[in-house]
Amino acid sequence: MFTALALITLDFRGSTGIFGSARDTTLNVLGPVRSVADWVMSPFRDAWNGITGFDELEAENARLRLELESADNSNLEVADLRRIVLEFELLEDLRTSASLSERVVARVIDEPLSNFERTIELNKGSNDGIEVGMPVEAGRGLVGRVVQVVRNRSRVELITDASFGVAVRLVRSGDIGVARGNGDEALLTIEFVKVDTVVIPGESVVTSGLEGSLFPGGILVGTVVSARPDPVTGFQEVDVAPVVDSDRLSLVQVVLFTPPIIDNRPVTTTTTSTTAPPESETTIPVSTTPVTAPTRTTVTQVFPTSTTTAAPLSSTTEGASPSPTGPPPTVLAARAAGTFASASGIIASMHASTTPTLVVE
Amino acid sequence: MIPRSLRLAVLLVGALVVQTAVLPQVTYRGRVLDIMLLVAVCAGLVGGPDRGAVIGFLAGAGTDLIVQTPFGMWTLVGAVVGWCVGSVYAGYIVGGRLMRQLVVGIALASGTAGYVVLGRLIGQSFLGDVSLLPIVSTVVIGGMILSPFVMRAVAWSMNLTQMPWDDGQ
Repeated sequence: MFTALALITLDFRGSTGIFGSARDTTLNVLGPVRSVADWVMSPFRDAWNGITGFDELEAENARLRLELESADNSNLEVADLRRIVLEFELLEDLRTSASLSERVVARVIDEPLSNFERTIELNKGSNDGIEVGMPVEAGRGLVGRVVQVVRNRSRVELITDASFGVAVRLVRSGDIGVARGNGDEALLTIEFVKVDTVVIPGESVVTSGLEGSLFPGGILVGTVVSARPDPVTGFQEVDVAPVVDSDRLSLVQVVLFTPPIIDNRPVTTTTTSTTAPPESETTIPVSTTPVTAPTRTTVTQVFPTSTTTAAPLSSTTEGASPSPTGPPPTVLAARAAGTFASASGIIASMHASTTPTLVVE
Repeated sequence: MIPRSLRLAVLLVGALVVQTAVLPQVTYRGRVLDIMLLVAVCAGLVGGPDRGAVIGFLAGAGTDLIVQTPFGMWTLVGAVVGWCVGSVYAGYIVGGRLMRQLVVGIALASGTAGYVVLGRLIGQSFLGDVSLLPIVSTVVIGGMILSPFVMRAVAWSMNLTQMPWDDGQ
């Protein structure tokens, strides 16, 4: 029992290399066995799915027929719009856009292993250029992100997983928020949508592609089902139906997109200003190895004397390129810090800089 | 004669293969049976608290190898469940097959819920968002169906020629 507690502690203390290697080895060793089992079990699986999922299949069939009819009408318009967007992106050199990223097609070879994780396994891995953190999409929209990679296999966390989060944009209003999964429930929930934003059911939701986001922009996530204001936070919560049915995936595309890095580490208190600042200013050095330009991140937090702010009012990076093309080695760890945390941070910072600060009395 | 340690290794590796290769093929609405936790429960029933804790520990560690949550969570749950089942069943419960099935069901439900509680305690807040009841139902019902076979396998790994309860019945 104490050994188990020690293992948990070690994992939290950052000895993830050991456990990560053990997990990768397990994935490698069990991979061929699971492939054989998949081949042997496929008739039984199909029969079982036919028994347990017949009603869902029937409903899905009807829904897809309707969608196909409506899609035929709009295909030409969409193709024309896509061409215009692509031209615009090429002109503006928007390299974070999903449409400019290369893709690797992979086959889904396994289902979720645990009741508490919504993951799938792909038959492509690091040999094909796949890395941890890369987004995965099916033909119609976002599926999830890569969380584990070995040579010829990778595991993808689905967008419906309860620990998944992605910065998104409502297409009609342009407002941004963070979509997160709800475990085994089909709907996603978008948080941090401004309360005065008009949200219409059926509105499309795409990845935001904000600078620092772990996903490229423009990947369709889902459509709005409903919205409700949250008087406590001052934001709306929006329910979104994913466009991709993650239970029936067979082929997916891994977008070979390397996300820009942001620093999620807690701020230490070292004042750098030569004159006494009006507010408390905190600075953290983030570079321990020589890089071409000295990189320092300054985070200024302003706390009025009688109130408490919900988010930092400003965040700047000194000496860093405005559009970094590669991550500094010292902040690589931030990539593994969790999609939801970083996405929430980006959205909170944007709201803080563009809207009146939420004040908690 | 196969050494007991080798039998135990065969049991655990076999259970891990079944958990990762076979059971994901027969999910019910995306929910999968948990044979590793069932091994821990059956080890407690068949072998008592000490063996239950050891085998539960190892089975939980096997589960931790295939999931993404912090390493040690299932290890702790497996060890605790194996020890508790062994202690309670050996000391306080007298009954036949039906009672054993009931113990298996309660232990599986407790172990699954305990995992969520442990996760919440150590900061895995997403575990609070999952719908626990459907998961527990699937794990309990499936586990109760599979438990007679798993008990036999566990008894084989302990080199037992008969179940402990066969003496008095």
